[in-house]
Amino acid sequence: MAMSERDAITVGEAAEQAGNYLDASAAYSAALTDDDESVVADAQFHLGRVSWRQGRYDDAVSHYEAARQIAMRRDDDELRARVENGIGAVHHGRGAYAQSRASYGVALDLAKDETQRGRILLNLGAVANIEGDFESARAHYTKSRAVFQRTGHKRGEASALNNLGMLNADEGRWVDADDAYRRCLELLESLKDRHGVASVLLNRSELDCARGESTAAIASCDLALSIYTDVGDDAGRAEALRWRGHALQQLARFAEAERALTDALRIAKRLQIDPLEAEITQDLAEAAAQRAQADHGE
Amino acid sequence: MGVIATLLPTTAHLQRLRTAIRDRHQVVACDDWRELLTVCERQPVRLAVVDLFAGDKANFERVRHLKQRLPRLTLIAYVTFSAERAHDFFDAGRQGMDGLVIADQDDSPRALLALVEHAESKSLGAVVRRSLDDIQPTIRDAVLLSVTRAHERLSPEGLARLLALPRRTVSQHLADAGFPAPQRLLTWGRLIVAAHLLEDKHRSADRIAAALDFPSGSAFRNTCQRYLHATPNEIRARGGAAYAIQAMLNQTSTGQHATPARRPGRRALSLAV
Repeated sequence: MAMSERDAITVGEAAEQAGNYLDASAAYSAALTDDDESVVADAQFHLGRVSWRQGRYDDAVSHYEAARQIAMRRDDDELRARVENGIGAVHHGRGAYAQSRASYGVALDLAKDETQRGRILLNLGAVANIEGDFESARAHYTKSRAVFQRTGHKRGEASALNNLGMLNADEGRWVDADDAYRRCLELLESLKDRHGVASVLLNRSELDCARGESTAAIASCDLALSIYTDVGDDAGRAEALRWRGHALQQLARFAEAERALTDALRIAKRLQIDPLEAEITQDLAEAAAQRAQADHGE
Repeated sequence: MGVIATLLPTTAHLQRLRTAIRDRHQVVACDDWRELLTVCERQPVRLAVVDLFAGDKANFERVRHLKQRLPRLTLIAYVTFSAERAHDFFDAGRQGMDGLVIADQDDSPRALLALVEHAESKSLGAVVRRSLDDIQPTIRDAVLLSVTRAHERLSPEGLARLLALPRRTVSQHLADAGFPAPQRLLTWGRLIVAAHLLEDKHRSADRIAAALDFPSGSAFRNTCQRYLHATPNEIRARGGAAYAIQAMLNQTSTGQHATPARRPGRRALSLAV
């Protein structure tokens, strides 16, 4: 019995990596009935992670809390580190960067496992990146990539490459950015990680927009949108719609742009993703202003 | 604001709060701290009114936890005063309580309502402040005052007085930074507050116009069109206050805010969990 429920987590992980979050959730939930408390804690952690991936942050927090309670009871620092790192990612998703950094700090104190430390370093880099501290972000990403290469953790390396690509894009180093994304997509395709592919496609669409290749950007967004719809990731859909709207705006297709942005805004509001909501409203304001300008010009 | 969560074991206190706010906000009454946290996390709660002594002793650990989990939540303590609790009140301030209501002293309907409205504009003020991080302090203060005092129908002279600067200096600072002239800025402030109120779906444009002292509903709609090129419904659909703030910043003549932060905050950067 216990063995089959442990297996359920393995099955869930495979589904999660393939982007089948509904199947993954079902598999992890099956492990919640195990007699072994450590299996239940692991299942709760995985449910938290898959909920976070789907943008269901409240559910993610509930599952992480349940996992943390068990970890504290069992004095399991590694699990606590994973949970704190997961909670940090939820804060990050909600735009509470100071909170996320605090959670990552706790996680780093607790974690002994090298790969886990690589994950936390990567996440600390992401916070620094968003806060505009590019130097610190690059240092964290480079360290985490080295850790992942050393431990043979391809997925982690892909994440580090994706973030380095974005950092290069932030600094206008388009060729380096393109190169990092290409390497990242190769790794993700070898891992059959559809969700990851969708995310990198969106980042490439940013690059396309910056280079004025709006039609290519729309194609990337459409592909990402279909993957997100397929895997049931609403937050991802909002992001893809936002970038689609941005590319349409560049092509002066204002009505279509506003439609895409309004759909994105509706999703962001429903999911309470404050940073995304703010960015979309900013895009909407710009689209409306540009449309008014164009109407006035005519 | 929408939803107010309460932890008020004394029925009379809860009743007074409900009486004060009538149908302006939805009140979710919680029985314990755990329920309060759950409600605040799961519903769009921006204000929580709590009795610090729920369960007899002052519970700052819970307050800290709540603040840590929900840093944007505004917390108001509603308590009965006694001499032995004086030290606890002092500690309450240090724990980050945003307001204090002393039972039988500050809890007349008018006073309670004013406190709630203040908390509401305070949360909006926080949004505005974040949008103006890199602006020089005088300009930031002027914009913040135009928002937080929107209901007072400030004149340009009144604004200058609050800033402790001559009116001409205020105009010059605003012009140098590419911001609208004082009168126009004050209208933007009212529009930002109106857009914030529009986020509550049950509020009609006419009610908002009356609350912010626009001459009429149609005058309010005309102002929306003139400044935001949008109807009240469109403003609501486009994000309410955040949209109005961004529209104002986009129209500053320096255009320094017109370049949007293109980095998506959440999804595109990979995180490892």
